[in-house]
Amino acid sequence: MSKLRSNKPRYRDLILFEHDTSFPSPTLGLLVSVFLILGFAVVSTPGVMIPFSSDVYIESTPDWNGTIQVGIFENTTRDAPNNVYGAALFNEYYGVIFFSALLISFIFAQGYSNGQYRTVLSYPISRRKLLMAKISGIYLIVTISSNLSALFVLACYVPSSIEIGVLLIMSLSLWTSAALVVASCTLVAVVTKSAPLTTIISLGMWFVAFYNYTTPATTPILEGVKNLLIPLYAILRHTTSLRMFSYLQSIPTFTECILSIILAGVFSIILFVMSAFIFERTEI
Amino acid sequence: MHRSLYVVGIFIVILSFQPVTLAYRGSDVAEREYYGHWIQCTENPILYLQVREASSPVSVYLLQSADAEQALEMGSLGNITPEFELENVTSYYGPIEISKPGVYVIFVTTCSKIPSYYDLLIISSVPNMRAFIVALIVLCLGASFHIMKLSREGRITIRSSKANSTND
Repeated sequence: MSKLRSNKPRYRDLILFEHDTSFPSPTLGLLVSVFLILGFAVVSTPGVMIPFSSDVYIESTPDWNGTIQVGIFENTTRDAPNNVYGAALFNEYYGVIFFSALLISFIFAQGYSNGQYRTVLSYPISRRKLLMAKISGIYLIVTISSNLSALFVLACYVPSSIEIGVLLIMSLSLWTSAALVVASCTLVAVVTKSAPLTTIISLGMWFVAFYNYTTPATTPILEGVKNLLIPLYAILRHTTSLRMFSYLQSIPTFTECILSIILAGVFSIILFVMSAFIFERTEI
Repeated sequence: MHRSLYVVGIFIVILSFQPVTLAYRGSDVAEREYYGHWIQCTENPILYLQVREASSPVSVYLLQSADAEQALEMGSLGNITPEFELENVTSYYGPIEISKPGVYVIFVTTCSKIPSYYDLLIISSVPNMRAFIVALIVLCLGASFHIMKLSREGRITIRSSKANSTND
């Protein structure tokens, strides 16, 4: 609380206060470690999600076409880092959904019932700043941990190099996907003002969206909605050859992927503004 | 902060000692057939090979990706010099030395007229040095933050003790 005692606490003081109260040091370390384990699961289970190893077959027959085989081999080699990084991000996304919902419930929504907001808002702090400090902390922790874990897996277990453009666009799609998850969970929290309800609704909503994504869309509009909700999947289907994303589904073009990232970003900003609007006007 | 870095560092040390399965196959191979497993290695992998009972011996060749491409073009290993080879073996367990990290192909074949049934498992050796070095860096960072914190706390204690003695 000493950080908030100045006449007008700065945003940095609020962030530090949030860090001290909500993310004491070992908790933060454990969160990062769970993301590391999720990323590592990709390389420890070859064949399940990624072609970390694949088969090469030679049979000395007269109809042998070596050129085709070399082409397949070169493609596998080139795509491998994309596939590993993509699969790691895909695994991390489970963690992003799970931890965003839980952290927003127990760090943000619980503030209504345990009296934290009444105490904190007795200091000269605007509600918008408080919301920003809480939610940006959760968002940064979840995205930085998940992205660093995926990069760790790529750097430590894959000797081939990845194209920097592909790496950036895949990372950006994770950040926008996470922004949408965090913004929607925040909206649920400010509307329900209850930690258990936020957990149930947020987890239910995003896991339904998650599993729906693996089924093929019947109309182009539905396909667009799916890409908007989880832009990470759109970019994974475009840049990687992961089998589970390709079955029965059309592969989105690069323009569609970029559009879905932009729309998801805009949509999350709208959701966040709505949350701030409600948070400023509700009784605490 | 230092506690978080210690926790992350210890987790990475544990992960670096976790072996990774690079390839697995339990199947058969016939004469003039080469069955290959495309693997990515950052360290020397460990090969476990076991030919099943009543099956004839098999031969194993490890090739660099460029050599594997050449082998695929030709349709046979021809005059390619493998990085590592085992000829007519029924079982093997041990590390394979690779010259540099990269993409490799391990081919299995047999000289027997009857197909040979075998189980092949390739795992990474532990610790994964890249992960282990990252862990050491994180732990060192944690230790430096810890020392910085201790030295700051120490100064405060000295100051307060001096202040106490002046007051006395």
